[in-house]
Amino acid sequence: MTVSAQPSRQTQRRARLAERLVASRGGVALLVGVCALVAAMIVATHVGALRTPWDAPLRLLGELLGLDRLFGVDEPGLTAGQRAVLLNLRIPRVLFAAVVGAALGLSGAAVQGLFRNPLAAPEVIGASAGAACGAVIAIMLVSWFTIPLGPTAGLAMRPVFAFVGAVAVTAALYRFATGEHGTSVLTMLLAGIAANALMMSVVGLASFLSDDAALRDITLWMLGSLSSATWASLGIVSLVLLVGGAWLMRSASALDLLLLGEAEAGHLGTDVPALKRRVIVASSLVLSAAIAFVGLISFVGLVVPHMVRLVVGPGHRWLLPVSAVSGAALLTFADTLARTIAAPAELPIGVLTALIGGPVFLLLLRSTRRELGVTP
Amino acid sequence: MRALDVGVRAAGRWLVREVSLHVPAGRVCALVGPNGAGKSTLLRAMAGELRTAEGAVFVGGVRLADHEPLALARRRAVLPQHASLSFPFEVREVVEMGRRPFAGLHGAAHERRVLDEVVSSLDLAPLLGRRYPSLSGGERQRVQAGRVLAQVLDATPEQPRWLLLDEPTAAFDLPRVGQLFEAISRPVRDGSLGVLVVVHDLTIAATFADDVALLQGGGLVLHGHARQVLTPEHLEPVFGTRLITLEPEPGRQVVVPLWAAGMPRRGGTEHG
Repeated sequence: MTVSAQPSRQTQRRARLAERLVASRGGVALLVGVCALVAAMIVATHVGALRTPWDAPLRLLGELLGLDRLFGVDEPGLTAGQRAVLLNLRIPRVLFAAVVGAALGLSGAAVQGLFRNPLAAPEVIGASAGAACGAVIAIMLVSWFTIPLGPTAGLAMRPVFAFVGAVAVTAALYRFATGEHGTSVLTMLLAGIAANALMMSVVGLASFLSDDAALRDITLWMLGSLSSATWASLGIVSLVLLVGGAWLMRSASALDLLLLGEAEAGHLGTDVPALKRRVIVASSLVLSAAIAFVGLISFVGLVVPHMVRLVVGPGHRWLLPVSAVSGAALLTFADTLARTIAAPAELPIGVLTALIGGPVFLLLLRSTRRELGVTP
Repeated sequence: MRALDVGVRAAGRWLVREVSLHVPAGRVCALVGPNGAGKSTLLRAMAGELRTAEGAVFVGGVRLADHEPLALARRRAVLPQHASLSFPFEVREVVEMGRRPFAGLHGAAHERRVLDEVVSSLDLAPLLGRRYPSLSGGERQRVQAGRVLAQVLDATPEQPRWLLLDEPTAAFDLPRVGQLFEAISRPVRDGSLGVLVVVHDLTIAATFADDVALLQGGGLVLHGHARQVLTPEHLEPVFGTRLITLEPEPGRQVVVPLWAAGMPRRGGTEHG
């Protein structure tokens, strides 16, 4: 009994062509993302209180490598002031914005995969607040005990404590909201509200218990700013991003299978408990490194993977890297805006991302409700 | 694949107890029984989803718990009753996920052949480019069936595989039911695939299963050739309703319930 005709050779060929297009769509998106990131970084380096020439980074690199002498370039070089601004302030900050944006986009994409829900994001489930809570406790402890290792050790304590907070909240929320048949959106959102409130009350308590100096640190940090960028903090966040990113990329294929359901992923050969541990730890690691240094920057982890998924589809092999690159481009752009729009004052970056991200997210939600299967 | 004295407990109650079941490669075994008889529980225990409080499950002679997850995925596939995928994967991607356990083992030509067979046998070609969440319930079930079929279709009689299906045709229209069982018949007939399937419709069991295991109250009542198990004398006490079996043509059997409250109708139904 044949119910229908065999698919013609032509339909099959067409299907294969479509297959190749999908595969390359991820590649094209990655390329576009990288181009956008490079463009954003060039603009970000150019503008500011002190304008530098467009090709300043290249010239600086040439000078540092000694190429200008090698090729006998006789153009007037950068002034000492320009060089100091670029090397000590602008370039670390631009790179820092990119790295932090990448971390936020990447951890958002990973958390959405883990929860099997496009509405899950570190800021929604309270992981960001958990990281913030950890960082604030670190600031408070450093001020209490005046850790004798100097400011560097104090700085290094923040990401460690933030990591503990983020892991704890992510793992707890996962337990709470995700069962055999996937994540209950309602439970996740409500538990997220509770987790956010709880973490923020601990932040409040820590502020209450802190002395004046620590309180000033906490307040400055909570506003969220990339101005704390130094080569040291840049190095730490980059390293964590590389390690966590590589870890997550290795889980990309398994994360796809997890979207089918926990049991199904297991039947397809995934060690599900190990995968969940890995994703919770890696995404919290990446997230908390970023938050520990810049404070709360919301909506990047929610909106970026969401938009990227519309372009490259839900497969994590492309979703993770494209989310990272897009997050980097977005935050670089947003930070440039934040420090120029009200110059010489600087807008808190978290305020700006929420201002842009909130409405964008609502629009996206409205137009793609059915396709994304977002039902309460 | 074999269950040996399997018992499953939940909340202090035995859902399944002392069930031994042998599903050899080359046969289709149907699990039938009334609601709450433990059909799905037994299937999930044999799939390794539920922990067995007693007894053990063996796949290919090796205890389920001693299999590496990946090695096990290369020996058996499981189709659950409900699928919870809500992300907009394309149908092609979902079907290809069934091949993930074999990544890097075979060449591209082999993979293509397997996928082509799945697509043509379940008539998935018109769906391939569509997004999974946009499909109807029956279409989703067909796609998921395609996914597990892709996982077992290239088995060999030397390395047989098993397929566990929990009500795979619940949302199918009539021709699709035959299509699914026809798709698994090729590997079953050459001895490279064993199938355990939970079905509600006894006629489906009578038509497509070689063996039938009859469950009641978490225990195995009877296990044997479909023809011998699916008789009114065995079924009526278990289901608590009157039943008759008909043989509309030689070699075909239909099980018809005679519900007590059935309304007598005028006129006849047409047979095609």
